Amino acid sequence: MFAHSLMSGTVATALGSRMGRRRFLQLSALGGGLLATGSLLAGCRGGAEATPTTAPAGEQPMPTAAPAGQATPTAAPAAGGTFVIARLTDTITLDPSRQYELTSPIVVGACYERLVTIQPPDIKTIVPQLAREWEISDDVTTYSFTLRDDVTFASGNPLTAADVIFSFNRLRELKDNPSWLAEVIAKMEAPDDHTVVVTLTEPNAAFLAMLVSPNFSALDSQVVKEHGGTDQPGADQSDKATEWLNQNSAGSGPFILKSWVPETEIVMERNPNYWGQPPALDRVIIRHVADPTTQRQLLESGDVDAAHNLDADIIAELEKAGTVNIVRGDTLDTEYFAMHTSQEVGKELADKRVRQALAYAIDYDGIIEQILRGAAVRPPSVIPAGLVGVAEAEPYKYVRDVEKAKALLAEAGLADGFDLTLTYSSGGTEVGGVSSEVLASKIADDLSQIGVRVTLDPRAPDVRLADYRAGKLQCTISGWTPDFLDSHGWAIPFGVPGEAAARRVAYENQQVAQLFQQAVRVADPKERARLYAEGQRLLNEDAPFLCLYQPKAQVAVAKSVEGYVFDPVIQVSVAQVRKTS
Amino acid sequence: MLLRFIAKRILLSIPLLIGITLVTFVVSHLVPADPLTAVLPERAWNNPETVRMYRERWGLDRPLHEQYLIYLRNLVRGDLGESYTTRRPVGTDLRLFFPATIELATAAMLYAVTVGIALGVVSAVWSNRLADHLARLIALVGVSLPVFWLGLLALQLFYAKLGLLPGPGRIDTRLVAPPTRTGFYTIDSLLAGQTDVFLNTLYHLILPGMVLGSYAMGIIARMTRSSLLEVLSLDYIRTARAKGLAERRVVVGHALRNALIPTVTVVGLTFGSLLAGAVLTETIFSWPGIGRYAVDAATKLDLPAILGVTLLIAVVYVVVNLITDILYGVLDPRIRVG
Repeated sequence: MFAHSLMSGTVATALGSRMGRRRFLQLSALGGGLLATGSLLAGCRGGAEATPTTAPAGEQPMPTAAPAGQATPTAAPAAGGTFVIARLTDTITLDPSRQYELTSPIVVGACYERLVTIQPPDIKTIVPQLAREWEISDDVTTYSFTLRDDVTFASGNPLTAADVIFSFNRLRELKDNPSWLAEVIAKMEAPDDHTVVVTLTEPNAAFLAMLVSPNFSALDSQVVKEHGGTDQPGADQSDKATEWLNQNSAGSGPFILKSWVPETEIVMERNPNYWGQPPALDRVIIRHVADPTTQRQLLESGDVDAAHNLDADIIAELEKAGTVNIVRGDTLDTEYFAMHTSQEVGKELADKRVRQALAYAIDYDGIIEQILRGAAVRPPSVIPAGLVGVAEAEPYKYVRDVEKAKALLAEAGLADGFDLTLTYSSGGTEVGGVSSEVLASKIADDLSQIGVRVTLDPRAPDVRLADYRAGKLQCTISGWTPDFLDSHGWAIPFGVPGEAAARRVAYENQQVAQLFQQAVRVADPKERARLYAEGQRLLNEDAPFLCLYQPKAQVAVAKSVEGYVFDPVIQVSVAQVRKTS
Repeated sequence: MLLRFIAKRILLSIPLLIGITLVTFVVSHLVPADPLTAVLPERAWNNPETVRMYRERWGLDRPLHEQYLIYLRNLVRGDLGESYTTRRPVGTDLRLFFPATIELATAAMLYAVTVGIALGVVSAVWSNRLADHLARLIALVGVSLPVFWLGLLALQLFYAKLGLLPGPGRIDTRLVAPPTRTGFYTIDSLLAGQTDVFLNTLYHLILPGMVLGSYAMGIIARMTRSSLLEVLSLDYIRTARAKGLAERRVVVGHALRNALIPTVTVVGLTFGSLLAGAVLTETIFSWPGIGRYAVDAATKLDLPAILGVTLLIAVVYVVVNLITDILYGVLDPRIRVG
C-alpha cells in the first residue's frame, strides 16, 4: 500500500496530474471514441488512488465513524471496513447442507455456526461453539449436547434443539455430496429445548470431529422451512430452499450473506443481531480471480486485502519485497505416490520389496525443498500431520537410502532395474499448486538412480483420474483432500480393502483393516493413537501408498490486516480479521 | 421485402443449428473420458447407487442416439439441459455470463471501429508519408500481438505500475455488483440509479476493451486504408475534386461511404469472433464471461454446457451476418435486398 501511494504520487508529478493523464489516454487511444469516456472518467478514480483501502464514498452505508462510539477496550484504531479476498472460487452452492467445495466453507463458516469447532493452528482440540458442553457414552455411540441458551439466529429466532435436529436430518435427506457424513446418525432426540442426544448406528469416536465440518452447521429451521426447505425423507426431491440459501443465509453467525454472483463475487455483511462478540469488519467480499499473477497485482495495488491462490514463486518474491504479510498454516491435503499391488497391473510392483525399494529411492526432502520451496511437511503415511496417531507413527516414516533401495531390488531379483510406467495428469496441478509434470519428472529422476527405467505417461486429468479409479495404472501421483478432521477419514479409504483409495491399487491387508476399524470404536485417545500408529506401520511396510508431502497453505495479506489465521476447515474465520489504518 | 428476407434467413439457419448440435454432440463423445469424473467427489464413487443416480439424472445411461434425441426434444422446448458442473440450467448460465461478454465485445468493437477507421483514413489520405507509416505500424502491432501478451502487458503497465486504469474485473473490487436485471452492469447500474457504479463499469471496460479490440482495430485500419485508396483513385473522386469541393468533403462525404463496404463485412465477422474469442481477455481480466464458461465446460467435459455455448455462438454468427447483409443495403442502395 505504501508502495502504491508512492507510485501514484510519482506518476502524478511526472504527468502533471489530470492533464497528464488525459494526454496519456489521448496517446494510447489515439483520438479514438474512447477518449471521451476516458477524460469523462479521469477524475473518477482519484479518491480511490490516494487511499486504496478506503471503500468508495456512497458505498458504505455505515461509515467507520459509527462504531467508534461503542469502542471496546481492546479496540484498535478504526474498526470496520470492507475486507476483499481474491480467490479462485469453486462454489456450486452456498447451502450449508449441500456444499462440498473449498470456497463455500468460508461463507458457511462466517454466516453459520456449528455445535463444536477448532481454534487453529491447534486442530486436535475440539472446542464448544453452539454447544456449551457434551457427554460421550463409553461405547462412543451416544453423544449428548447441551446447547447455549443465549443464541439467536440473524432472523431473531432463538436457537433450539429442534433447529439442530432439522439441520442434521436435512443434510442426510438431501442425498447430495456431503450427505454421507450424516449417515452415521441412527436417531436424534431433544429431551428439552437445549439438549440434543444423537445416537449413532455404530460406535464412532470420530463423530465429534466430523461435527466440525461446515456441513453440520445449525440452520434456522423456521426460515429455511419458510423458503421451501424440509428435513423429511424425500427431501432430495421436495426441498426447494437451496435457491434461496444461495443468495441469503439462515444462520446464527457473525455475518449474513447478501449476494452471490457465480464466478464473480460473494458478498457478506456484518450480522447486526449477532448474539456474540460482534466482528470488526462491516463487509466481506470474496472476488473470483483465477490467475495468480492478477491476484498479486490486485493485492499489491491495494485493491484486495488477501490473495488465496498464489504459487510458491510469487510467495517467495512477495516475501523478499516485504510489501505484504504471508500467513501460513497446515492444510490437511496430502500428495501421494500410488503403486498397484497386483501382478497383472502392478507387474514388478506386486512384490512388496520392490515397492519398498521405490520408497527408499524417492528424494522426499528434495521434493519439498526444491519444488515446494520448503512450504510443506511430510507425515509418515497418507494421514496428515496434526491428527490422532500420526505423531506416534513417526518412526515408521521412509527416509531416502539409495543403497538400501538397490539392495531390496537385488533381493527381488531385479538388480538390473526394470521398466515402470508412471502416469500423471498432463497439464495438471497437484495439491499445494505443484505442476504434475514437475513432480512426476522429479520422481522419475529419483527412481532412475536405482536403475528403474521410468516411462512418463501424461494423460488428460480426467482420463488419468478415471483410469486410476478403475485400477488400471501401474503407478501414479495423486492428491487427497480432507472430508473431516479425524484420522478415520483417511484410514478407511486407504487401509480397508475395496474402499475408495485401496481399491485403486488392489491393496488388501486384513490386519491393517482391522486395526483401523477398531481405532474408531474406542473412546480413549491414547488407545486410538496406538491403533492408528500400528496400522500405519503395517501400511508403510506394504507400501502401496507413499506420502510425498502435505503442503502448507500460504496466503498473502495486506500489511493492514490483523488476526488472519489459516483454518484447514473453513480457510479463514473472517470474524477474527481486523483492518487497521 | 426486408421482412421476408429476414424470415428466409432465419428458416435457413435452423438446419445449420441442428447440424452444429449433431457435430458437437458426436465430437464430445469421442473423448475417452467419463464426464462424471470431474463432477462426482471421491467418496461418491464408492457407492454404485450414487453413480447410477447421477448417470440417470443426466441421461448418461442411455445409448448415444437416444441421448441426442432427448436433447433435441428438450431444445425445442427451450430447455438446454442442466450443466454437470454448475448444477444450474445451461440457459440460466448463459444468461448469467453472456451479458458480460457482450458488454466487453461492444466496448472492443467501439474501439476497433472508431480507431480503426480513423487510422485507415489517416493512412489513405497521407499515404506513404510519416502519418501513414505510423498508422500502419499501429495497425500491424494490433494485428500481430497475441492478446494474452498484450493483456498482461497492459495490466502490468497501466494498472500495476502506473495506476492509471483500473485492474481486472467488471467493477472495483470494493464495489458490489448492481442488482441483476439484465446482467449488463452498464444498464443495471443505471436502472438502480447507481451512477458511481455506472461510471466505474465504463472505466473498467477501457483496458480489456482495447486489448480485445486491438486485432479487429488493426484489420479494420488496413481494410479501410486499402479500399479508401482504391476509391480515391476513381474518376468520380477526381470529378469531385475538379468541382472544387473541399478535400474533407471529398474524403468523408464521397469516398469513405463507398470504401466502408468491405469494412462492414470485416466488422461483422470480427464481432462474432470477438464474442467467441474473448476467452483469453476474459481470463486475464477476471471477466466473468461466456469465453471462460466455455473453457471450463470443455475441460470438464460438461456436455450440456458445451452444446449450449456452441449453439449460442452459432446463433450470434447467424444474427451478425444477417445484420451485415442489411447494412450493405444501407451503405449501397444497389445491393439492397429485393
